[in-house]
Amino acid sequence: MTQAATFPFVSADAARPEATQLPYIPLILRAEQAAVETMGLLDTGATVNVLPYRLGLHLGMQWNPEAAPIQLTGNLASYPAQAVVITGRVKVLHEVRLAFAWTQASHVPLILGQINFFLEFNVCFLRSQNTIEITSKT
Amino acid sequence: MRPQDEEMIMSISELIPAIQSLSRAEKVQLLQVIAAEIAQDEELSIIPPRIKHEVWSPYDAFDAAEQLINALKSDQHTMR
Repeated sequence: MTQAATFPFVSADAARPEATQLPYIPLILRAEQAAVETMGLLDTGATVNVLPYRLGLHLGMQWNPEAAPIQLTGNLASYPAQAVVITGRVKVLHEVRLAFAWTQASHVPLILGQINFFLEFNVCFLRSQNTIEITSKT
Repeated sequence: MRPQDEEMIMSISELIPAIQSLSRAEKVQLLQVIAAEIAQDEELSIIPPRIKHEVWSPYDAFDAAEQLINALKSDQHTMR
């Protein structure tokens, strides 16, 4: 039987809960040096996963000035970014390897995008019920 | 009111042909200016003027996606 993790939408502004519900989910990210429990924004329009700079530092990662740069788009286009692959776990689901564009921008949410979060997990948005259901792809 | 300001005031009947002669881009720009003026007049905060709205979502970052796919392939190769 496929295991599913369910989450509520999260209010981005407690003063306006009805108007600010967003699909943030808790997940644990693990790199070689450390693990961090954080919240990620499920963003089906994002082409890639994005890791904010400070979160990468909390994971013990070091910026590699010789790594091939990644060109992001939109407001992130002006910030240097590089590819990192780390381990992620969503609640009871299996750990997976997640590739992120690690950006030097810090004031950005952890974004879970098409490559490769939505390749690893099946996500069902039940907005009218204020619920997100996530299952592993297998 | 200064005399030169008085000379510059146009009636709506003068404005309309002037607006019609604008390019599409200029009309859009004019629309934004008018919307901001109205919002300011009525103290609306729906479209605060001159505030940069930040959208972080990397739409259509296909080159970046390709690089992440390659990074995942290298990672799978290393993990074996």
